[in-house]
Amino acid sequence: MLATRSMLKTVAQKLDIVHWSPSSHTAPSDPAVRTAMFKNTSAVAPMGLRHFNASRPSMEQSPAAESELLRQQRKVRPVSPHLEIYQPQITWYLSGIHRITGCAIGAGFYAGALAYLAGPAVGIQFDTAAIISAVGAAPIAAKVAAKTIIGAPFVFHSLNGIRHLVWDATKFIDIKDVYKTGYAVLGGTLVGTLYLASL
Amino acid sequence: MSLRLATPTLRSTARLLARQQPMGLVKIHSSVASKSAAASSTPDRMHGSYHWNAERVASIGLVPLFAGQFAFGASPVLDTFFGILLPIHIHMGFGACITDYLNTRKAPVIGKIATAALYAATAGTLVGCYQFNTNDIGLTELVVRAWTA
Repeated sequence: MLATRSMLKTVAQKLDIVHWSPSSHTAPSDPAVRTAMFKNTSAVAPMGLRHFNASRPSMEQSPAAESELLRQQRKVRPVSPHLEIYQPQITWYLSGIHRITGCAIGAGFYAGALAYLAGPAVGIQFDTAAIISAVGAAPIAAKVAAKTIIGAPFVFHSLNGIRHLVWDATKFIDIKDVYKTGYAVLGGTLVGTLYLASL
Repeated sequence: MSLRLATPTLRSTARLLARQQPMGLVKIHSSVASKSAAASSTPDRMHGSYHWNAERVASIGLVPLFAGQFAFGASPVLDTFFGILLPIHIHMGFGACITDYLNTRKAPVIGKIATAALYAATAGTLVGCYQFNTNDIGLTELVVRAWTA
């Protein structure tokens, strides 16, 4: 955003700068004088904060109302296409899949634990033996399919999670290494899923 | 375009290096100054860092747990740690999703509801895991039996 005069004037006003004028093109180099020009800097805002007006200075309201106005404006603002137009890359595809698989497995785990707790209250039999016998009685194709559908996200999320931890240790953070580890995770997911589905 | 901003000229990069200012601090609110806003809430700047550390601990801790599960099979000790670490890990994961998609800044009501629901669900899951590990065969054994049924 360009530092237009109106915005600068707004910033200057709000920081209570007494001697600022639109025609002065430089600020004094002496830090003490510079700080002295801004009254109540710490109470108003720490240095370097940028302020945005939701409404014109003459129509401004309380901070809370201004925030609310800004929020309402943003709700109806159009959003530029982002996910639709960005070039498919292994970087953000794997990142998205990491989050999706994590949420899916997490939701499943939570649902299972909560169902186990709530089962007796609702009256549904959530007994271990019942589950295992029900699973065992299913056709083999359904069992293999279920193991693939559950195992693949789990293996991927685990391997990619290790990849994330490796990044946190500041290793393999070059783009070439990111791609290498990404492909390694995908290969490991394939192998791991095949192994789990075969059990 | 030779205008020089009237704001302090010490560049934010320099302030960053001098560790005086957190990165990317943009206050997108009204410019109306209010002393009370700055004085009332001064959160600890390291708060997010502690949360990050907890996330890594919960993630790293799961690796030996799963490895031990695959190597040595079910055990009550493993199951206990599972029942604690896994819900915490999932809780923080869902919390990150709520922060990203249902931020209270943009969606104040839904964000708060989602956070409350997440805390309730995590509490319920922790209790459920404990109950299952204590009164039933345990998490690992359930997976082993159901998977090879």
